[in-house]
Amino acid sequence: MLEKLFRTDFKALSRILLPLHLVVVGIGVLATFAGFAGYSLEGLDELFGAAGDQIVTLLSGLAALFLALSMFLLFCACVTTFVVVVVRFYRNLFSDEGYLTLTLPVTAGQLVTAKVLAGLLWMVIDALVVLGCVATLSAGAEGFTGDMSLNSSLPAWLLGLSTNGLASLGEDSITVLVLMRWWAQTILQMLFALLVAYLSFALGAALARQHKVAAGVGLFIGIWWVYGMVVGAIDIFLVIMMAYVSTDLIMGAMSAASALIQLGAVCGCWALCVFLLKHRVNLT
Amino acid sequence: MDESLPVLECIGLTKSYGAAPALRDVCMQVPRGRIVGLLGPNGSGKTTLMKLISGLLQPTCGQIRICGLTPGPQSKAIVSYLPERTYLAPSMKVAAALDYFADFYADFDRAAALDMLTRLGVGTAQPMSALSKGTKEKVQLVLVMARRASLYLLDEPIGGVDPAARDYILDTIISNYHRDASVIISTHLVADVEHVLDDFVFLRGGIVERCAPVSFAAEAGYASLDDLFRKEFRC
Repeated sequence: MLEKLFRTDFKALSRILLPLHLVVVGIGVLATFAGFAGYSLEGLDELFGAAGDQIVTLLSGLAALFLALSMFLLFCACVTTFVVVVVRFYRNLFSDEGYLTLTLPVTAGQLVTAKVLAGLLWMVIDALVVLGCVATLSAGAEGFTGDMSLNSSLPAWLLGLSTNGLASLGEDSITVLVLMRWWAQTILQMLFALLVAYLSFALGAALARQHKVAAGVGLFIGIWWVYGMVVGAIDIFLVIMMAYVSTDLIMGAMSAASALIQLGAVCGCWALCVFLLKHRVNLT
Repeated sequence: MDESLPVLECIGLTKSYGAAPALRDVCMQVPRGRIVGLLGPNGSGKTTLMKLISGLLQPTCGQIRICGLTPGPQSKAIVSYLPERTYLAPSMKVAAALDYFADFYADFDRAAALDMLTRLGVGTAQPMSALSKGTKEKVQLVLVMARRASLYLLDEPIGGVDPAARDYILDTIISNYHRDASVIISTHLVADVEHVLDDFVFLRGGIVERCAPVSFAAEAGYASLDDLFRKEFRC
């Protein structure tokens, strides 16, 4: 049944997110081309006659603007993906659709798990698409950036991919380890964000009499803030400890503490979501 | 499954929302092969009882047994529930709804559903958003009645539809339910449903006031069940 639920959820999400990401890829390709073409126009001003200089400057400016706009669109795609996944969770369980979903012959645990897996898979796909686009865009923008290095703003492995190609991964085992660690942390972070959102909206639906969605949004911000405070407090404690132990040890402890807190929070949020679905939901 | 067990048994069933009780100490049994009218004015607890039986709500106290099972995944597999609301997503096509039911319910008879939809003139390629409110309700009824369930829970199936549609809905219920199954129809439109009912349950303020065969109305000297309902629930 879990497989059927997952398939249903993934298909429903794909109906919206697949076209969105195809558009994102299309924009990424166009923007990369615009980046290369816009830069390559330099020195071709004779081709455009008397006003060639101005035309080239205008076209190059437009290409640079398109590149910047594409970066913004990529950010929007990430936000939209998360919102679509959470909206699907809320609508499918707490709106009228819940009358169908919650009377299926499945357990509450299976319902939540299927939604977590389908949402997470789409968030991973989104991350791959966006990072792929960022890699090609950064290559396309190279001409414009000149001395301004992008190395400081992009992950090292991503720059490795964009400049040396996929082959560099096989040659350097440290890069592979960094890549795996980065993905593990990213997926845990995604899982945490997803489950906090699911829990917030489940709590909003179960506890609020009116404005359940607004309550869900408020709870999401609140829980995220509390989490930030807890992690911040632990980090401050560990920084104070730096006077007594080595910095490497502290940095490792910070990273481990954050991962452990997130892992615990993920399990707690999942269990609470299941409890709320089973015992506290009253569809109106 | 033990065939001697009643399809539905409620024992001391109570449901409260905060301090306000919606159902109080409900005790009732529905044997196999009966069509039962769950009758009462608005706010009498009909929908709450339906939700409890379908597993959408948890009782505050008391017990529910569906063919001997407490509400859960196993009982949901043998209960076919039609809520008051339109629960199919607007973007969902009729064919996708058929696939969905076939996927999750082992007792779903796709051929029977297609046959009913054809007679209704509803194409399977249409999305739910393209259908009128009445047709959406009929499609949901078709999906629910195309299951070979042990218990059908129909919450206000004829509320808000025209008299011609009411006939279609009641005909669909009568001609499609499995004879070993039981049907519970909740409504306050007593006159429209009384000719299809075997038994009735009167609910008032969350309390079962009367639970009897429909013939009781005539035996007690009332012109019809509707007449009895109007006299008992006169404001």
